[in-house]
Amino acid sequence: MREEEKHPQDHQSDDQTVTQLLAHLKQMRGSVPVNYQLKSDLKKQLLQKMRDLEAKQAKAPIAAPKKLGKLVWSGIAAAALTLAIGGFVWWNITSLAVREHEVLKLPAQAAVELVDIDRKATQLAYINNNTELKTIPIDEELKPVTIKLPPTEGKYTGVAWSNSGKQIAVVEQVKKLSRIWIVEMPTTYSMGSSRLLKEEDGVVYSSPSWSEHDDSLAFSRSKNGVEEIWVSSTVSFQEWKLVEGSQPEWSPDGSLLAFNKAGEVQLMEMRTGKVTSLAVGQWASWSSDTRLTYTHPNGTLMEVNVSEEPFVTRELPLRNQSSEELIKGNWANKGKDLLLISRHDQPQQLVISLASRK
Amino acid sequence: MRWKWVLIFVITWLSFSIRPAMAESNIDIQFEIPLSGIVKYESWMRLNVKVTSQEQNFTGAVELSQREVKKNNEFKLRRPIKLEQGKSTTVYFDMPSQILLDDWYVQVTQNGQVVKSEKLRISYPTDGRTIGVISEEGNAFHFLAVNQSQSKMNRPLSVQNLTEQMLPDQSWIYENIDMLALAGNSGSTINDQQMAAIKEWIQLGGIVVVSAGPNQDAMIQRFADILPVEAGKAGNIELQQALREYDIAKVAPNGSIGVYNRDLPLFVSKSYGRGLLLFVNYDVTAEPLASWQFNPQLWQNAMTQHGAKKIFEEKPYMDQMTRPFLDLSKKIPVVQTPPPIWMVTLWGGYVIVLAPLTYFVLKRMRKPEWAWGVIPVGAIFLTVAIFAVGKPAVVKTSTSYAVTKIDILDESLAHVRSAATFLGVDQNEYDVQLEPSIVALPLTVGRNDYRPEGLMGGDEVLSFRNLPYLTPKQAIGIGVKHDMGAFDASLRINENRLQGHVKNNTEFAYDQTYIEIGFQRIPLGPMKKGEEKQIDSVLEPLFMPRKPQAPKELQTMEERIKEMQERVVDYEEGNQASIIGTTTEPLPLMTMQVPHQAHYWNVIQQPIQFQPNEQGLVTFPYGLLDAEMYEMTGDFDSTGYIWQLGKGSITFELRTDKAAVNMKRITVPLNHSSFKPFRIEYFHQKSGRWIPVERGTRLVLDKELQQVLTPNQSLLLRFSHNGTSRLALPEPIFQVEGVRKW
Repeated sequence: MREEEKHPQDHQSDDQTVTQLLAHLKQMRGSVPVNYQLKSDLKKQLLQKMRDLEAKQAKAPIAAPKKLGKLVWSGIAAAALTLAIGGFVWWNITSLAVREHEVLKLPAQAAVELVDIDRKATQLAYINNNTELKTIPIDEELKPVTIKLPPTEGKYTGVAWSNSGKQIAVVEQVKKLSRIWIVEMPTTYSMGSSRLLKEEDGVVYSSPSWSEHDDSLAFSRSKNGVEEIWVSSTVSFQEWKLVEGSQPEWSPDGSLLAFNKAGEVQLMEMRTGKVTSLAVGQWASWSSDTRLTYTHPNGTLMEVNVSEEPFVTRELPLRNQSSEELIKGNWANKGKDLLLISRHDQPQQLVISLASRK
Repeated sequence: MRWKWVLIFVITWLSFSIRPAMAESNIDIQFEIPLSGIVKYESWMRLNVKVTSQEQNFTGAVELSQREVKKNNEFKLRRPIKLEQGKSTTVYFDMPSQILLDDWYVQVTQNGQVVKSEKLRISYPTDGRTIGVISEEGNAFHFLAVNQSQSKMNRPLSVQNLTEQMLPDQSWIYENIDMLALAGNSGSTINDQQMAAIKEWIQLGGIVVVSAGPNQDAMIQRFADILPVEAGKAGNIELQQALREYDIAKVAPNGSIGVYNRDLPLFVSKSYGRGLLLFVNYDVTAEPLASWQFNPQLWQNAMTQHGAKKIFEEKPYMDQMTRPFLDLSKKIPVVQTPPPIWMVTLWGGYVIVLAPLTYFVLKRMRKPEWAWGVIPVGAIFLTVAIFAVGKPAVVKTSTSYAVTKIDILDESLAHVRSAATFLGVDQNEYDVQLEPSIVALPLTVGRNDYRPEGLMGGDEVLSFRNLPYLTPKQAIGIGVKHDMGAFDASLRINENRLQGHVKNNTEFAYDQTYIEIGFQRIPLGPMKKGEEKQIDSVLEPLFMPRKPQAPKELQTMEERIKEMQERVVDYEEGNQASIIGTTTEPLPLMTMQVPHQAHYWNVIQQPIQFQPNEQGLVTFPYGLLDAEMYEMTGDFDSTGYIWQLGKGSITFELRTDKAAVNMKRITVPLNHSSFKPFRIEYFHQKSGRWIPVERGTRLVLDKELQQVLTPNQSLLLRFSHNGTSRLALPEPIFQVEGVRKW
């Protein structure tokens, strides 16, 4: 017997193996005494081997595509699931949702401007009991602060937080006399104080809005039913009329001023003085240098991109919103957080909530 | 035989130890400080060290060291000397006085050995103003001394007698005194260099008082180029008549006094550059004025009226180390310092990734023991590679960056202040050549400080030796620059507008120029040489600066550099309207003597004198003159320009006197809402009463002005508040209109 026959090569087929095995058995039968038990076992093993081989040969061409298909489908399903989860997470992160309901409640007759959020969205400020300015921390590291306001025989009607967060403009109305105070927030080194920025008889001031570097304050001045927007410098004794209208709101970079005139949101380019009408609505607020939102008369929050003309307005969906009527939304934290001021009917009150993109 | 070797060793050892002792006995050191040792903390000073070699020729160095015992890492200044037997030489060290007030030792060294060492003892600067007097009579000008209780802001005036020999030849050394008074016939021995230095010092802001009685020509005629006074007109003046224009007139003594020029009043002044020459038309030692009891008051009055007091008091205290300049000059434009994160990444990458990977590969190759060699060698190779690649990325060639501020006095003279950083690449030593008109001090940048260190060779060379690789060195300098031209400005204020023109007649073209008035900046844009710009701008009544303050942690490198540049611009600015220009054009004051790239950032500043308007009035607009807190009661605080007041009052002194004009009107805009919550009163000097200002009205003082102003020609304004909650008010701003006196 040749060496190759004695030790079949690995690459030989199973058929050859069986043939060789049979030949070997035949040879063994002739040369050794017959062990019938062994013979029977070997035969069984041989037959089993042959059946396995046949079964394997029969199954092989069908099983492969099935397994591949299963893998592909599994992959697609996993990808779809991943996409779905990712999409949900992304949507959850980027979509605007009310995360803190009823942060503060004010009496129904209170002015909507009595509360404001600071630019970093770390705290709220509001007028409490017409005597003091209080803060509500959103950031857990901050502590609430109470600042005593100058005593008044009238009412405090509005607050506006400066961009630096160190000052708050407060509007006071005493019969026909209107005042704007600048309240310096207390620090480790200073107790805080109030500086009278503007006092005028026979007018009503409202809606203060700070300029980019906090060196000017725009506000509405209403006299004999005529509404005007004035600017008062906080670092000099200068002041000037800007335009007719109300509810001024400076864009974060100071280049644009949104305001309300005759029930419309309008836009003024500060460099040129050019005024453009945007849409019907009120209470504009900037979420970025080019995007602003306003409240539509039907109580929905609308958004417009002012860098693209013609201006296209769209409703800004708010998840988890309760059924209150939205009056005003103030943006903070570069368009990530939104202070919502809504009117609740039962019981009648102003409800302040906080919406945000996570 | 062994004892012989021991003897040789002992003799050799003793000879080494004896050598310095021999030299020490041979060398004599003497210190001298010009102006009789008068030193002002906020000035530069010169220390003269006279070295005499008694017995033999000597070659070595004079060192100024902060340690008595020489150590390798000590900071020191060194000047080489060479002496012949029995001869003397004087070397000097120029530096800000504040540095020399530390403990210093003057050492004479030879071949690295200290042969003589003496502790430097200089008297500590006195707190106050010093008037140097040159007079043959020791008691002349004694009336100028004002003690602490009489002096405003509690800064006493002291009089110090000097001799002509004590006067230095360098104008900057005179900055250590506040006024120089020269009497009668003195001064004949003042040489021309000293006289030139004195005149240059006047231009830089010095005050010189020259008195001359009848026929005392010696001194006043040497100042004829500044203030020509006709000689040969001696006469007598009635004192009642002569003192009529001074507050002291009602107690003027009877009689007359001999004068140098009978056609001139008793006091005649002439502004020259930033300073003043005050001619006193009589001999200050002559009676009846010399011993008149009100003579000091007369002089105080005359000094105020002629603007000497204004110059006197307006000199702000400035840190002569010019830290804003040094800090900015460290930011050499072409030097890119790698961020520390790179270092951490490279080091961490090698230790955490590369070294274990190398070990793993070697283990697979079944040569793990090679790791002992491959990993350290790899580290060395990596270091060399990083050095080779990184070095040109940091800086390619030697480089320097000079930050200079030039204060233009007139077309012919400007005051210069500079700081420079030098970085030698592949240079462990180099020299820095100084312009002849400046003096400089070499410095080493410490962790938190700057220490004087370097070799000062000759008059105009700084040398840096044995420098570690890529080690920046710095120097600060002061001096003057001649004939650089000036801005031609003709500006006047009409109501709230600044109008006129500015022409650039300086030797520079500017990247940016602006006019600064109080807190307001009126940008003029870039300006070429010879370019003229018309100006018609609204003046804003600012009571605080408009500069936006970015939080430090959010600043980019550009923002930080901009802030540093701003600090250089603000340095020594004072309360005056100025034209300010910035330029990167070359201004080589301290030049490295090796091939290098030189960078410059220069600020050129020139004060503006406003022209009279159509009514002949010069206006000092809102915010230009300052108000100082005079008195406070109750609960108060200040946050810069805003004052907070609980129950109490704040009194401000409006420094109208700084206008130095014959005031015609003062306007304070107290009608602004910010002042309405307060009760406001002004002090009426004549009646001694506080007069209330009606709420919401402007305070305009014109006809009764002289009765209102204090003897210092200032206005006192009081704000009171009775409530417990703190109210804030801005520092009051005001406008002064008047006729210029000189």
